[in-house]
Amino acid sequence: MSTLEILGLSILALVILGGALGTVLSKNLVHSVLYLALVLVATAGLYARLSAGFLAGAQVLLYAGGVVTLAIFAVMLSARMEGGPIPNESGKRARAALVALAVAGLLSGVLLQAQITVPASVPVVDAAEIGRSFLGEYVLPFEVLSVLLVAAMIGAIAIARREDP
Amino acid sequence: MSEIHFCLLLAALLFAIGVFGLLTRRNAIGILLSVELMANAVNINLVAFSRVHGGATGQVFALFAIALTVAEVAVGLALVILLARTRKSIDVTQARDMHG
Amino acid sequence: MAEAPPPMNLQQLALAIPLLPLAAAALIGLVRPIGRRGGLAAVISIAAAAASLGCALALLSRTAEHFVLRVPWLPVGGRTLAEVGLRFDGISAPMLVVVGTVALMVQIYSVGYLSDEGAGPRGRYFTWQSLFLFAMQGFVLSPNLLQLFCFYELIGLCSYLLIGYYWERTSAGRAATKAFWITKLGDIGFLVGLLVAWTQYKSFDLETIQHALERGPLQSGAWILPALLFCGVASKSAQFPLHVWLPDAMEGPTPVSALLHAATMVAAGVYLLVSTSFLLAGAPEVSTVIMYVGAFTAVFAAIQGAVQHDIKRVLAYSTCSQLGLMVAAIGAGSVMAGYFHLVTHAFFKALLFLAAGSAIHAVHTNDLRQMGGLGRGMRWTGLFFGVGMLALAGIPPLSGFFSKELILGALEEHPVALALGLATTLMTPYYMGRAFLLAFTGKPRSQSAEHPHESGWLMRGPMLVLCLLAIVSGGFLWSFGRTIHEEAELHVSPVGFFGVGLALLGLGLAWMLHGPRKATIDALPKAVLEAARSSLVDNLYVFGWKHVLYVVAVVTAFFDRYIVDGLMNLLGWAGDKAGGALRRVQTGLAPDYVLALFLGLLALVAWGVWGGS
Repeated sequence: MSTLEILGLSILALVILGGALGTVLSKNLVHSVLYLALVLVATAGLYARLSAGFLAGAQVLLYAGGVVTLAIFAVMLSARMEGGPIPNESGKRARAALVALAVAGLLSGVLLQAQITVPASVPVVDAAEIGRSFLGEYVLPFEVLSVLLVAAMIGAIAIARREDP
Repeated sequence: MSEIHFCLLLAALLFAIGVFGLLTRRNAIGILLSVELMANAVNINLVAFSRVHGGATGQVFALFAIALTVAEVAVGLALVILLARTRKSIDVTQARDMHG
Repeated sequence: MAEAPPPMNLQQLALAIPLLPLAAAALIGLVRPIGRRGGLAAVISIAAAAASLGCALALLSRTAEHFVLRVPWLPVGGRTLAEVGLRFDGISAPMLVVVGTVALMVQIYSVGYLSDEGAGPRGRYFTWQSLFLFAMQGFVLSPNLLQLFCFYELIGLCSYLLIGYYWERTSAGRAATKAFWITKLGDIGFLVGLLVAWTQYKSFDLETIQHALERGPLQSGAWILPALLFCGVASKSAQFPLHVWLPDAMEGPTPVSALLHAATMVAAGVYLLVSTSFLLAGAPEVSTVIMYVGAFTAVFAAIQGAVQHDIKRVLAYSTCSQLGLMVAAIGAGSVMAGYFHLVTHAFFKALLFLAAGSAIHAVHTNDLRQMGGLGRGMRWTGLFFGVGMLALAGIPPLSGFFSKELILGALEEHPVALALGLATTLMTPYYMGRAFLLAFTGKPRSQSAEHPHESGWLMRGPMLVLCLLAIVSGGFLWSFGRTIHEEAELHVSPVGFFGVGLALLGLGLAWMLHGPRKATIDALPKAVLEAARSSLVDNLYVFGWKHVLYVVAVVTAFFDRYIVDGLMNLLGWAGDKAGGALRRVQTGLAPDYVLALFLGLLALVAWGVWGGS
């Protein structure tokens, strides 16, 4: 890999990891959500680097657009119901850190032992290719997914609905 | 270490950070955000391997994962709002009804 | 074996002997409408006893066709641990007849004796009487030690029930309990003996053990089993020091005393000794001990009998003394002498008790000091008591003469025991004469003794039968003994005649001291009186109970409460504490559960990656 590529990747990695740390360590809930947005966008960049253009776009649209918006909404609404900004402290960091480190260690350990050969160049997977997969090999999960989305929508409405007095 | 290894390692670290957040955060939305991080890490993994093997499978699954996560967050946040409405607090340490 | 086919199978006859009274007991005891009607209960019980006796008599002439019936009962690991069965031979057959006869006579007598009791109590009485007959006959027919033990205990139970018949009297209840306890004490020895028997011979069956011993005597420890069995014998047959229950057992109705504590139950011990006498061949030390215990008991009890005021107690000590003679004879080596005396004693002692009962019934008291001159108004009773007395004294040609003859002959070679035996021979007619004379001759010493009424024929009839048996049974057995039991040896010895002389001397002494002219109550020296009336043995038992048994009980209780229960409590407490500690894992906090989830996940993955194969 060329130096530029390494640099690019490193920056992306730093942004991602830094944003993640911001999400979990921030004292302000809104800040946490915004850090998450940063992570999601940076990940989209990573996808692009990995020749997953369509996915990068979907990531930005759905995650950074949809999810983050939803999260902000929820934060505002809950704050209103709670009667003030939501406290965002964290507790029990030591043991959590231990577990997280263990997870990281385990996963990296396995990873670094693995032999993965990467072909030099691969055919680019574009939206058309993905579309063909959806309607071809993965048509069933695709249809089920649409049912799931409807169910989720209805479920969310049903749960959050205010009961009529 | 190749590019792919790098990405996979990154995903692992991101996952670990998500775990940390999951175990640490006291309010429900914070926990959901941590779960988001973990899901994101998984997606990175999927896309990286898609790059290795060629074909669309990895990306398709990543898309599925995104869609699922979106649905999950929607329902989760609906629950958070319900929680806030009924208990006037979304602090998970306050919900101790299962205390043995 | 080809004979004219018998009308009924031998086995069936033998089985009927104990089972008929059992059926009667069940009928009377369990079927309330029968048990409530005293008269009906009596009829059923007597009918069963009569039928049982009939079977026994039918079998008496056929002892040559002896058999042992064994039915496996407790199979253990491929082998049979315990069997149930019947033993019919020259030893059990005469005993069956004796027991059956005395039981039947006593039951008929009881109808008259208990005529003023209520119907319900009479139902109870006959239930226990029939149950006892079942137990006793079953005991006689038992072919193995375990079955003997079971029936032994059942006999003890019936004794308890019958002694305590007048349960409204505390003294009766206490006497019954005392009898039960003391006999149980000896039966512990019996029980341990069962264990020893199994260890040494791998069988409880008497024939098996006998054959084993014939093939080759035991290397060592041959004395253990007979010694332990003798503990059981001593308790049931009231040998010193386990004799203390017998005088108190007189609290029961007199027919009960006649049946159980004269003729049958106390004889069960001697019968056990007779049945297991083959064990003594290899244990001469035990034989000697048995002989001396018996001889000592004979004299000891005779002296006690001479100082009693209660007529039944005189007879009780007399029974104890005579049993001592039987035991001594067997210990000296002559099983035949002991067995013979068992039979004759059953008849004349039962007769004596029934006659005493008749007198008691007329005068409403047991006390000799309040009797006197009863012979005038109760000729028959006086006659019966007199005949019984003479038989017991051993005056020829009454039955007691023959059996006592044999006993003294058996003791010939053992001077000390012989001396004790002869002393008994002197004392026995003395105390019997005293009792007879004080009760039936002289002047009446109380109001109720002035006009006694003779008993009805319900009571006189059985007495008459027993009287006749007391007269002839000795000569009868002497002549025909060999047809019943092949090994019967009956011979005359000069010591026997010396015994007759002593008997006459004793009677004379009694006449002089307690006859109608002088009629003193207590003629023995003061010191003897004091010593005989002391309750030393009883006090020793009480001491043992309070200080020895109690300590053992305390220790055992401590062990049970703190160690055994403590272990259980410890387990419970540990479980509780562990639960309490583990409970803290369930905090109710979602993050904690998630942590647990991840820890488990880590463990699984680590195991999957680095563990496993």
